[in-house]
Amino acid sequence: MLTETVAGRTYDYSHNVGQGASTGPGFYFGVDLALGIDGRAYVVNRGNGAGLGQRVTMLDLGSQAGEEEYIGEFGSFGDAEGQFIWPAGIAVDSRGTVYASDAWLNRVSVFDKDGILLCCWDAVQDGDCGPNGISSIAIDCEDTLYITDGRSHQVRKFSTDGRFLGAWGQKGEGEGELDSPWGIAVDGEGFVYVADNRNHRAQKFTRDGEFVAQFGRPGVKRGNLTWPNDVAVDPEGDVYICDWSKNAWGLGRVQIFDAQGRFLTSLAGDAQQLSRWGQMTVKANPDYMKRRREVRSTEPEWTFAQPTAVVFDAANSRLLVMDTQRSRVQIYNKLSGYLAPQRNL
Amino acid sequence: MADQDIALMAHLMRRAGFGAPRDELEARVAKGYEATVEELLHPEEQAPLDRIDMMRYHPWAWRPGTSAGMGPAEWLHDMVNTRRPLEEKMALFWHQVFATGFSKVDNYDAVMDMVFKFRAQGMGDFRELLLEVAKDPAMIFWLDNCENHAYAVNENWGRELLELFSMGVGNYTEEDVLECSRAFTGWTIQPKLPRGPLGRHDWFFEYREEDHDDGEKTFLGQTGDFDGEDIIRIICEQPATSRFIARHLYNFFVADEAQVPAWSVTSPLDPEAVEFLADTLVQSGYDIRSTLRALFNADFFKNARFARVKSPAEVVAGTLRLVGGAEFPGPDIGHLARQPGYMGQDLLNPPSVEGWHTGAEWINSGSLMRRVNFTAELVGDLARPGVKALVDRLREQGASSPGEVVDTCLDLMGPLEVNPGSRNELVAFASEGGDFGWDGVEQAQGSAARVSELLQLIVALREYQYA
Repeated sequence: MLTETVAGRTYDYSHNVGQGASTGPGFYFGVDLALGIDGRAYVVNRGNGAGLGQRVTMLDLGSQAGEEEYIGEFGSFGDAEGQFIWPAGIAVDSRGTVYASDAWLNRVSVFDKDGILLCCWDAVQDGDCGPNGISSIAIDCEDTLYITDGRSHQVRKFSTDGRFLGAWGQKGEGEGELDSPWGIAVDGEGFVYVADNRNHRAQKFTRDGEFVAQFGRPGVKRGNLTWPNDVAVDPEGDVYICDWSKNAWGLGRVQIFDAQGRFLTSLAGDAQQLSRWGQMTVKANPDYMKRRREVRSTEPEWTFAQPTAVVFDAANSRLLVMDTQRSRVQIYNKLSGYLAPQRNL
Repeated sequence: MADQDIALMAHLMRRAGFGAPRDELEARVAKGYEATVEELLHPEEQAPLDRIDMMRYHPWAWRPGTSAGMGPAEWLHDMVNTRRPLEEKMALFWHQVFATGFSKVDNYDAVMDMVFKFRAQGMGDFRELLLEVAKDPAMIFWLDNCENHAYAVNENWGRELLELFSMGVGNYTEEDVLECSRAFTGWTIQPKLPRGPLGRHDWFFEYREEDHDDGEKTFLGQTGDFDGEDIIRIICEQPATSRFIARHLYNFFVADEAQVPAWSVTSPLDPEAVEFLADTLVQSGYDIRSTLRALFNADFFKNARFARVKSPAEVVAGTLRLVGGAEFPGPDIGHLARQPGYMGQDLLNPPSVEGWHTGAEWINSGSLMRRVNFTAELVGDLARPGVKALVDRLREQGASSPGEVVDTCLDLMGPLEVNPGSRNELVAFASEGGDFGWDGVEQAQGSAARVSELLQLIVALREYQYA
């Protein structure tokens, strides 16, 4: 549904931005996104297995359909400084500096807001033989970086210059234990939320790794989680967990919980129109246009297809979902004071 | 544990799977041959492979599209790591029989969807599988059945169904081809969303009644208003069909036969065995599982060690299983998946609807060099857990004389049966450094390095190319 109202909140589908592109306007298996201090969005693209499309795309998401603007891109495939093998996570600190992780090289690359490489540092300590596979990055208001490691089942803390500050987590199913942690977020009070992928839950920790609460549990019923891969928190404390539950055409939902962990609702994707970039591509390819007119419905492309990142854009009160297989960001406005229409219209 | 038990189990695992390291062979021998056959025949009793690492680290693998050489990456990874080796081997078998390729379909995921069907139904009722193949979108596109209309018949699918997928040349007439094709008019594919701008979508079968020729047809002596299902039923009533599938099974699992196009003019290598398999097929109601059970327990199978040249997929997956270290899908999965192609078997992309020519035709100067280089690099890597395990066994055994080390290596690499000349060459090479010693780190490391060189020579032997 384009508009979902539940328990005093309304999520109103706004628009989507993106298309499949290994370079230029669009994404190529975008796996994470972050917002800069000037509202600029950064999407990190995993690319394909042949070394095509690994990069960070900079763009303005716009406030409504058609307003998106491509700004540029940086990074490429390789293991030299500033390059990526498995680009994985991205985050921006209070000064606008951009941090991008690489899950194969276990390295954080640091860029200025325009993508100029500043430095790189290892996110694995000397003597740690692994296996390691760093993933998502979250940065708190004091500019401490929290990085998940999906293969060593840890969360590690670093200063912005790469100084190791500590770690927590070990493989397991108990409270505070992790199994293949992936996405991570920090709320305004400094609590850390981790998508505990193979445990099918999210966990909330203090900044020092003390367990606080669990969100969701394994399963396929309402409010259950299936392979959660990212988490976000809004200023009101609502928690958004992106997972791979089934939807009508594929895998992917954003499950929404209140601050106490009560399930509110879920979103499955609503992109009924192509983005501006997508429309340009279709118009430039007559066969695409003809084939789209032949299909009985475009519905298979509306829903999420293995989304892997969710971000709450507090400045604009909207939810951004990285719809990985469809190479786009789906955007929902969170409205307050929404007046529901009469039922008997 | 008798050497012959290990040798027989190794033979079974090479044929019904992609080989197995020594620890697994020993465990299976302890379990028993027939019990192992039953386990292989019931893959559902083993856990399927976990897909989450692949989805997480290789999101492109969900719909690999046209990424050059990347399509079979996930499949090869499955061959190496599966706990259901016969299920995966049967997928390879049916991919060879119902050869459908990326070169025309231009869409790896559509061809890979066939592999999923082969996994799911590859050991079930052949008639049902054939019907699934007839409805498969990749096959429909590959053999132009989407261009087969009531008002304009296209015979491509109908002809290949009879020639390559069921009966073989010489068992039907040109008129049968036409009538068969008429019955499949209207069997087509739904229009799907294009690949751009948002990525791939699934293809679905569609029956268009208005495009189906519902007139009377005479096919293989029977007359009626046949549709495709009737045709498959009639085909499977023909003795030629059970013999044809039986010969395919013999060729793939037992011993190298002549190439398929020559079957109409060349007798089977072992006519009795093929007839036995054909009879089993018919008596079991075309149950492939029952037929495989009979095959693996038959003497003609047990006595056919090293009677087949390994296919490139068997070389690559088998060697990776032997040396280990490919459990996590790293960035090299595309590189590994392209190796069979370099050796002449581009998975998901056979050269034609005939599939690959097998047996001695796998080998030429270029492909042999590729085989040797690839396998030598792997077995020469002492960091690989399987290589390390082999060296550890030698050390624990205290193998010191070059002859003893050579024999143990040959045993652990197969066991491989090599001719005396090859063995003498290996012993001569191993003797260049004198006896092997395992005392102290430095001496053990030196011996390990020499063993790794010896292993590289062993995989370069003619015998290693045989399954």
